[in-house]
Order: sequence, then structure tokens, then C-alpha cells
Amino acid sequence: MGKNEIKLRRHLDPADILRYHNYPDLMKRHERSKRLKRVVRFFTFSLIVTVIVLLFLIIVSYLWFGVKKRSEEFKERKPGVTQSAKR
Amino acid sequence: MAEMSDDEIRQEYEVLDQSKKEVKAFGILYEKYFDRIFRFIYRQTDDEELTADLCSQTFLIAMNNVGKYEFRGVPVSAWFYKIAGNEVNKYYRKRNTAKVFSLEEARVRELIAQENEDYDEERLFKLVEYMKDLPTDMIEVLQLRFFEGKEFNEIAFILEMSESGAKMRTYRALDRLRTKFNLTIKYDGKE
Repeated sequence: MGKNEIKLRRHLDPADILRYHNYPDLMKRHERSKRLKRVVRFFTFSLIVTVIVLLFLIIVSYLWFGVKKRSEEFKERKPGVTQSAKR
Repeated sequence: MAEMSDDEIRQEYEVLDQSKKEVKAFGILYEKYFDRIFRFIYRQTDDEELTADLCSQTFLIAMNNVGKYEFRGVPVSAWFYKIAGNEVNKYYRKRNTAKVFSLEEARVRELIAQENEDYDEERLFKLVEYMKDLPTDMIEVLQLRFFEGKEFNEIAFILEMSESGAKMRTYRALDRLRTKFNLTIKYDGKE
């Protein structure tokens, strides 16, 4: 670190600083950022809920297809059982 | 700058606490500290428009995070200084340029006690040249101590370091100036 630029100058006039006072504008920006934060929070929440619902649907459909497939296999195997029983 | 009593610090914190519920109360602190924060940033930028932007950003960040503020025994202004300092550093990091310190000449003269008669413009110029080579963190600590009139506990809070660290850094910086220029730096009548 080091080698900064150092300048000497006169005092700043308080009237010059007063020009930059703008509390209403600050309030507006604050409201805007609050709104933006709320929107971002809403979208994040929605995204999380969507992902959870999708995961739930995937798991349920996987289980449902699994059960269906097994019951079909069981049905297909059933006639075979009767044939062997006849022999 | 007069040191704040514990009661005054508490009262100020209560105003900030109130602004957690009603954001309009923050206006009192804004009006009280805008000038000081503006001057603090201006000393590190030397650009009025940029200072106005960074100052406004500082108060916006403070306003947005007022709910997270925790009382730590230092004046609320120290929190504003900390945010302002971070914003200035962020600006320089983005620009990747040398930091500009723009100091009031009258204040510099006021702080330096003239040891002998032959103290002149050239010596002041040499001092400024020498200060350019001081590490940034040393100039920051000198600025907070001698231009903002901050106590060491506040400096420690603003620069996120220990109080003894802040003292050490200040004395080291002063020591360098003393040995090189045979200067006595005045501070509230004390060295």
C-alpha cells in the first residue's frame, strides 16, 4: 500500500453541501428498494415452492408408475401360475 | 468536535431504534450527520458529484439496514462513517486507482505546531509529498483522528480493528511524521 494522492484545499462551504441534502429522494429510493426486496423475496419463495411441488410430483409419479408396473407384472405372471398348476 | 456523553449516545440510539418502526424518524439523524459524512467522503474523493452519490448511497444503506443495527456503545455516527468508508473503498477497488486525500490546508496548518521560525511553504509541500508514501491505512486513521475528531474506540469500530490497534497505528503514523519533519502534532491542546 502507499502512494496516494494528497491535495490541500480550502474549506468546503456549508451552502455547497446544503445543495446535496435531499431527504425526500432518499425516502423514495428506500421505498423502491423495499419494494424490490419484497418482489425478490416473493419470487424466491415461489421458486422454492415450485421446486418442492415438482419434486413431490416426480416422487409420487415414480412411485405410482412403480406400483402400476408391478401390478401389471403380477397380472401377467398370474396366468403362468395357473398353467403350471394344471401340469 | 465535542465528545458525546453516554446519555447522548443512548438518546441517539433511541432515535435510530424508533426509525426501525417509523422510517421518517431517520430524518433527524440524516439532517444531523449529512454534512459530516459528506466532508468525510469528500476528503477521500475530492469530487463533489461523486461525494454526493456516495453520501446518498451511505444513508440509503443505513436506512435499509436499520433493523440490523446493534448498539455497541459508540455513537450512531460511527456506523455511518463505517458504511461511508466501505463505499469509498468499494469505489476505489472498482476503479483500481490511487486513493485521493483532499485535506483542508487551514486544518493541516492548525494541527502542525511550528517548531521554529523557518517553517515555510516548502516544508508544508515536502510534508504533503511525504504523506503520499504513507500507507493508506495510516492516512485513514490520521484523517479520522485529526480531521473528524474521533475517539479511538470509534476509530476501532469504523475500521473494524481493536482499540489498541487503532492507537498503535495512529502513534506509528505520528512517529514517522515526527522523526522525518521534527513536527509536533496538536490535538485538543495535547500532543
